[in-house]
Amino acid sequence: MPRQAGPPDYRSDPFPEIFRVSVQFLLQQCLIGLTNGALIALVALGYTMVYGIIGLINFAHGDLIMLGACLALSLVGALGMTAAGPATTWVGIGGLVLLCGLFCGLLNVAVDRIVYKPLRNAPKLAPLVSAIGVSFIFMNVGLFWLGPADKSFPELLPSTNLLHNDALQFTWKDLLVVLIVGPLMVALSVLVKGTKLGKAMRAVSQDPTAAALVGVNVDRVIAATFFIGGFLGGAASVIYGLYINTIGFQMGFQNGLYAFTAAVLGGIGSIPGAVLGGLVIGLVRALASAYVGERWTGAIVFAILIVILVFRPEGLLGRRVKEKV
Amino acid sequence: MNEHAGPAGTPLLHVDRVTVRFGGLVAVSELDLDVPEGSIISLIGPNGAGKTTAFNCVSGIYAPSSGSVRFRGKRLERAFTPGTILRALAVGLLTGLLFAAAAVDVDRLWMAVVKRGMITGERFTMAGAMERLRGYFRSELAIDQMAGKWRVVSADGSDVLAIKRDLGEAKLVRDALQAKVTARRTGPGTIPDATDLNQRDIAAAPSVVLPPVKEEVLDRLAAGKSRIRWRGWLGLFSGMLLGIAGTLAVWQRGRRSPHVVARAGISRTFQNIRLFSSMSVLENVLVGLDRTIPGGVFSMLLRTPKNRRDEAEARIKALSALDFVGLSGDANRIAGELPYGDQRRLEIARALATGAKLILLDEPAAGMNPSEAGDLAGLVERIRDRGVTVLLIEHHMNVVMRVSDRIAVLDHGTKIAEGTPAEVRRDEKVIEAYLGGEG
Repeated sequence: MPRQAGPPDYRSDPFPEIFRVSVQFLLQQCLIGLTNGALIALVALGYTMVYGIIGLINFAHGDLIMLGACLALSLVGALGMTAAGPATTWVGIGGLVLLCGLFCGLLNVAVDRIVYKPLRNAPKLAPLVSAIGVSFIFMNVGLFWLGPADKSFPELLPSTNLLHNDALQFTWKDLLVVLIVGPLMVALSVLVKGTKLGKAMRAVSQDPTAAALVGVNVDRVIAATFFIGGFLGGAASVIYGLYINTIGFQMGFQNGLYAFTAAVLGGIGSIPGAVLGGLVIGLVRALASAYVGERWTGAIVFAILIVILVFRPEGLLGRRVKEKV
Repeated sequence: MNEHAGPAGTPLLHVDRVTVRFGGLVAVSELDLDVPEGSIISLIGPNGAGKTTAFNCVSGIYAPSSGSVRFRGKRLERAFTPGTILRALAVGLLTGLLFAAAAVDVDRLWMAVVKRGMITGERFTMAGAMERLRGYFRSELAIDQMAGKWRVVSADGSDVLAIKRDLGEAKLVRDALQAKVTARRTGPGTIPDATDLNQRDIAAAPSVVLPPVKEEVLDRLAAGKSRIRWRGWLGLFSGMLLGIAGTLAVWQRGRRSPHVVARAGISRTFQNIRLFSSMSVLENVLVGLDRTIPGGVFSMLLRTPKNRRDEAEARIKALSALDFVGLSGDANRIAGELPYGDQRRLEIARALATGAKLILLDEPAAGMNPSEAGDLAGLVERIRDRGVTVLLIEHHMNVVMRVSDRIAVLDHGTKIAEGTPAEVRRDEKVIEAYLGGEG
């Protein structure tokens, strides 16, 4: 659930806030929306990269992130991070991101090796249904790990406002999201644009057989893609815990659905598309819950998705897929 | 192993009685073909003769149903290395541990090792967890504190056997109960092993009043030790066997992979062009060259000087390959925007740039007019002159007759003739296959 400033108080104010067009309120909502959107984008990347390379909608991705959050919670407990000073806390958060990223990345690769790889030449529905199965397995592991009730994630960061402005809130937590998501996105775009791995990934996504026949180890490239998607998801899980402060074994489903929507909205298979889609959905969610009402956010997000897909079925930045010969 | 250079008499490519079946359909039947180094060999035949299937077989896309393809006397398969065994063992150990965890009841194990510590509120430490793990496998009774009282519990904390105010009293009860459990486990009249309990404590307090504990609980605790151990070992072994066997089976299935063939030095083009059409012309060629650049992900991301040098070298190689086919002016265009004939030549450049020693061209002149086809024939000869052997499928007879050293003719999956262009031209079976019975 996105954090939000309180709704305008209609009783003490004859003219509701919304008619006065409070710029600061709007700015605040946009800020919240963009921060939430960055988080959604990080998860959406995992969907879009895997879809781009093997055409599979990896339904287990949301639950993978839930497991990452479980690990993050356990590590925070085991390392006693709640008692650490501010400097140690930041180092600790960096360590958490790295460890949870590695964990989710390796788990994602393992799932690909064990479940999806033997089904590479099977009809598209077989890996899809397997992905749903993996999602359930993960959910059960999460249930076992966390227990049935939602767990609160310790507040490691102070919620002091960094801006010297009472109306606009930008806390350490928001800064954390920017500090983690920004570098990760830059690293990802350098990796995909400028390195041989990125080149191989783009080649495999366009024609795996042709790529193999010029010597690209297709399985390794696919594994690398799963690892990167999982790593970003692991980082997202830590941010989620620190930012939202509540985790539960069912969190993967809803957040996965929003992230998947973001990937489709931006054009599934397109990396900039996933980022844009994530930011758009974050903004829409924040603005809808501020101006329309919390309970209508889902309906509005999906209504916008439907409208966009009617006019641009390939998504905002997606390319029209030509039928392969 | 010592024949990797190939004996002098071995052809570069040796196709030996290869048969490919798709269900009941025989696409290629008992094909024999030798491609000597430095030659141009053509494969011709009417449509559906199985030429492309033969190509797919050589380049590793299909595995032959029977027969073998040898390149420089070697089968092109991933080698069985110590790494393969090591990987299988690692996976085996992992599945073994998972099976063992499932067999010893993972819920109880988790309760005993992690959750019980969380209930009593103590800090999780590795040493504490190891101690509880050992205790679980010996089915030792333990003492927890909860709400200021000491509880004597079974290893996994699921049975509370006694609650005492005083720690000393709780310890005495625990030891006395443990003695009872151990006696049941080892049978009447035998002495419990020293690791199970501290004998002296029992001797010092003979007058402990034991709380009422149900007989079946004591029985269950006593049975626990050997049951858990047996199940654990059984799970470990069966899991390891399955894991190793499964890993090897998957490895065996992926043994003949196209990229292994490509890296050994066979490259190809396709009848229907398969470029990476949204990448630039230069990038298309670079994809095949990138495996020659050493270095991992980190050196790529950090752009070390050595990495930059290697990439610059790869670019030079790629540009020279483009220059060879006459596309150096189009290096930065998007591959999908090139005209048809240029796309064919780009595919050839991409195949050449991998450093292939044998190149398979699948109908390179398809859709070309006679003058373009003539240029293409010249290109094929220049490829041969670079020291790259060519295996060619082509329907343009002018091209085939001009460039080929030898020609093999396929019809309905069977080789019906082989020889020099002049011999094949006169062969009656070939004429019949091309013109049909009524001609």
